[in-house]
Amino acid sequence: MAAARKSGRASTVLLWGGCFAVLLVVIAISGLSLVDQAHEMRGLYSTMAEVQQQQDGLLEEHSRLMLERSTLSSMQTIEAVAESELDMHFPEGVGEVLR
Amino acid sequence: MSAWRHYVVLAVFLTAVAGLCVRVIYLGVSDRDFLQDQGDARSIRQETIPAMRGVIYDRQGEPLAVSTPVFAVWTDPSQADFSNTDVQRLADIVQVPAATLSERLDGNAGREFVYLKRRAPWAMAERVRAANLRHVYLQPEYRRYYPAAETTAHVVGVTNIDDQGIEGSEFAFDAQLKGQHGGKVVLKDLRGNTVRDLDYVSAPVYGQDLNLSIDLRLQFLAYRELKSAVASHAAKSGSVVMVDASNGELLALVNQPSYNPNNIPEQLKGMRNRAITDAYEPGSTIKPFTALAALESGRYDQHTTIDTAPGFFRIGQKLIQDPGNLEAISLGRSLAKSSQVAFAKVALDLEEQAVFNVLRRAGIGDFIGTGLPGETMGFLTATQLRYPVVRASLAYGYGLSVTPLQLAHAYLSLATLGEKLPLSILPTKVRPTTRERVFDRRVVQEVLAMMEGVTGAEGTAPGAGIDGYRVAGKTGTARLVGPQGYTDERHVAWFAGVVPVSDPRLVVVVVINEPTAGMTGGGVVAAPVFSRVAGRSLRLLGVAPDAQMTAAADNVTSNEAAPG
Repeated sequence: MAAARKSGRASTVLLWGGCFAVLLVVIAISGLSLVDQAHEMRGLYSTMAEVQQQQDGLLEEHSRLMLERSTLSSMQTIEAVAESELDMHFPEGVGEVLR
Repeated sequence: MSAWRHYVVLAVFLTAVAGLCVRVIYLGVSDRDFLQDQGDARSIRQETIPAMRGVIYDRQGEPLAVSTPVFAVWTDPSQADFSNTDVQRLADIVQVPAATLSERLDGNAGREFVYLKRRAPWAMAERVRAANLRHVYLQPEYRRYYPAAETTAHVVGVTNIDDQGIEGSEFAFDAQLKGQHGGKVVLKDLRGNTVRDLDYVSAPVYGQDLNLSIDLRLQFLAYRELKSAVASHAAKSGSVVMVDASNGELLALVNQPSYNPNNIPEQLKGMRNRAITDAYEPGSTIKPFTALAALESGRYDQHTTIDTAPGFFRIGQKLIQDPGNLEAISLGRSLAKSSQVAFAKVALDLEEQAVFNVLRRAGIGDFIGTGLPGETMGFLTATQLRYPVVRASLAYGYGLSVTPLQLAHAYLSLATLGEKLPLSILPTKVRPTTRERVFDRRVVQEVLAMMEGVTGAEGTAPGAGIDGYRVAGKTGTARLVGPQGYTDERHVAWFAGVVPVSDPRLVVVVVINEPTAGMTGGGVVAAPVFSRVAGRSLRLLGVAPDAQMTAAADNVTSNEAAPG
């Protein structure tokens, strides 16, 4: 009777001890994964900041190129180039084009 | 050494420890929220992430207003303590005189925020960053560039330094263009540098792009011709409005004087969008509508003879006169010759409300509603039509006032052969139009036929003719009101026209205000501008010529032989 009670108490202790150990391990794992997550977030965040800066740079370049293109393709430029460099002019008078 | 001293020291230390413990519990439990808030207030900041404004394009996709990321350089004068060399270094980088900078710093010594430089370009911001000065911060912002500058200044408008639209389309469509600022929460260290981003509240929503119905090529043509005309006639101001006759889209809207929206200060004089804000008396440009009223009465056609001899005509005290005696002329010829007497007589012969009603139906006196800021409605009233003088002067364009935009709207109803449709600064795909028939098709066709005579050799404006195209138009020369009533020195020269007549494509209104270089008439001042602008625009748009080329008229046998 007493022996049985003794062995029952031992198994209870074992049970609680096991649970505790498992919990410890789980806590340790979760703690480590938290650290890992935080680290990953930092990494991702700095990547995002970098990419955002890159985006800003590209936007800047895009608008600059857009402005440059519109300057080069403006009628002022085209007319000036046509007249001065290509020696073009508007037709004077009218003639019929015969094929 | 007695034991009690030992216990006294022990007691003192224990009391001290207990006191500290109480203090820790007090700070950590009961004062916790307060302290946390205070700490956050010192280190956590919410920052806005500015949203980029949408691009404004013309109808062909040419950019008219483009945003580009730049930086505002700012400092906290209450923290910063710059040495003279620091200020000099900053001044060199941001290209602001050192004296100005130090004045600004001293003047705001107690403040926590002072801009050192707005809209610093990318490269400059890099140099500021590299200089690594304490308490000098960069804040992203956007600046607006207007590649077409003064050519499109009034239509496109401008933004202020805080990137809000304050003029033109930038103002009218600000809600669509501006986007939504984002925000993030950051942790700052003692020096104000961002240590860590805590929370990304919201990403910025970039503004939507906007397409206007303006065609930059036509806008440029109109602007150049208007500018040279205003300069050569030493005029005060001028406007050109060009409308697509098929759908009421504004293709060009230019004014002189203009301004450069890339560099606004000190240019307020040129900022008014005169084509939509300034109303003038339209003078003879109203006559086609009087003729229309006459045709509508059924008692007139273009060949009906009107006796204008002896070239003047008196209504009570008022003397109405033509430059010369035109004798008995047809209605069509009196329009071509712009006879005041003939039109006064026609108006008096018609019903009291007839001319007024035609003008109302054409949309004169209406609010156009393009959405551009500053639009005015001109002036047109029926209250005094019982007086013959008022009816007669209304018939030749006095006693009412219209903006160039309104006149273009009225002429649009002629170009559409009697349909009124709203003018739009946006492509009509975006803003569908409603058409309303206001005049009979055949009546308008007859009016257009009469208006073709204006640009003929006999008309008041041979200079408005365009080689290869049939032009229906009307000149106007309105005298301005001075201190003693209408003066003979100051005039407004108008030309309004529709091309090509066989299938109208463009409505162009030219107004030159107060030409002072000798010539003042609409036929010599405004008509040549019309001819050049409309002629080149038609060719650019690829509109097929509907008339024979004059120079080749003897040889060409077919209309199709138009050279490209």
